[in-house]
Amino acid sequence: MKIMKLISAVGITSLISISIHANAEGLIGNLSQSASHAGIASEHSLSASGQAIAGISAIPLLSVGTVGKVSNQIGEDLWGVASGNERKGLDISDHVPTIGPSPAELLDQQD
Amino acid sequence: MVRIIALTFVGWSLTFQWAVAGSDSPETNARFSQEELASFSKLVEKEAAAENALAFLLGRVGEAEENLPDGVEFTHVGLAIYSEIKLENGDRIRGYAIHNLYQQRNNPRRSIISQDYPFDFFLGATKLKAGIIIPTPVLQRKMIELVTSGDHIRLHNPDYSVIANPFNTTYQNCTEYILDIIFAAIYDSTDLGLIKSNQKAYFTPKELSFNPGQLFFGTLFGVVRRDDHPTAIKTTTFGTLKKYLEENYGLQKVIIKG
Repeated sequence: MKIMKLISAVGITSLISISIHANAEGLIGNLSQSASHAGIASEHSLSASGQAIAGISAIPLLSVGTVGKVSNQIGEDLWGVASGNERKGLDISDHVPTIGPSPAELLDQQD
Repeated sequence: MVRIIALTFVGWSLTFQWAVAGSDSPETNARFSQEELASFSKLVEKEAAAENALAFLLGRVGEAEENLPDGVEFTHVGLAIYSEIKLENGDRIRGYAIHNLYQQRNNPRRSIISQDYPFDFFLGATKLKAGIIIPTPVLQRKMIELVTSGDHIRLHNPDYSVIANPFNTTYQNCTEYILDIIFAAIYDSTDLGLIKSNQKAYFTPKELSFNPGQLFFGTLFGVVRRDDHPTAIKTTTFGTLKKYLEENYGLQKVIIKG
């Protein structure tokens, strides 16, 4: 009997702790959703200091195929750099791009 | 009182080690300021750019390190591609865009493919630490071609398990998705039959050990799905991706930052 009580107690305790753990990401998600407007406001304050700004789109610079091709010459130049032995380094902007607001938020802002 | 404490400990111990390939995409981070995350993510970008990396695998730590199973160093891996990024102000800049498989926020058993940037990627970090695997230039090029063609989307399986078995298509986690991209690029095919058979032949996943209580209650309460594992639990990790590339294809460089 004592063993049964112990097993059920372990089960209940596990259920509670597992539920906490399992919901952790959902909780973070919910919290982050409710805080998303605050997040956007913060991003704007970073943008004002010239550090972070929403990125609208990203296209691989080495686009060999026909989809999303930026420039053959840029691609060829980059490939030459990447496949060469010399470590020249690639240009990286000091801007910090972030994913922009969701379409729903954009529509809300336009209301 | 002692029993309550002991039971709580037992209950917690049943769950704490499921942090294998957690692929959350939160919008905020309670541990680090936006300035810290911006600075660190830019540091990571410049580290990879200094090696002329047009594409690389990027790992982050999204759980307390003491909760990670032995041999698991990073909990999420994405594919970073050197890109022209159009900003909301119309400017075009150069930097890395990250292609990820993330768990859905409202349904952890399902995933989405999402492209973000290093700053967003590290919003899910519990430590300012990055794993950078730079494949050979030829493989970089092949992976970029795959993504540019849109074929990487065809490799996505939205049924998510944190400990997905890479040798079948029942579930997929973030690291298996990257593994599938690597194989699709190498074999120039999105045929999952071909990809899985070659993974069985050439890729060695990480075997994870959990005590029977963890497995029983984890499965019982839906925290973990293990029905895709016929025997031992083996999954894809940052370390196994690195080992596979080192042994079978060659690597340009590996950098652990932070």
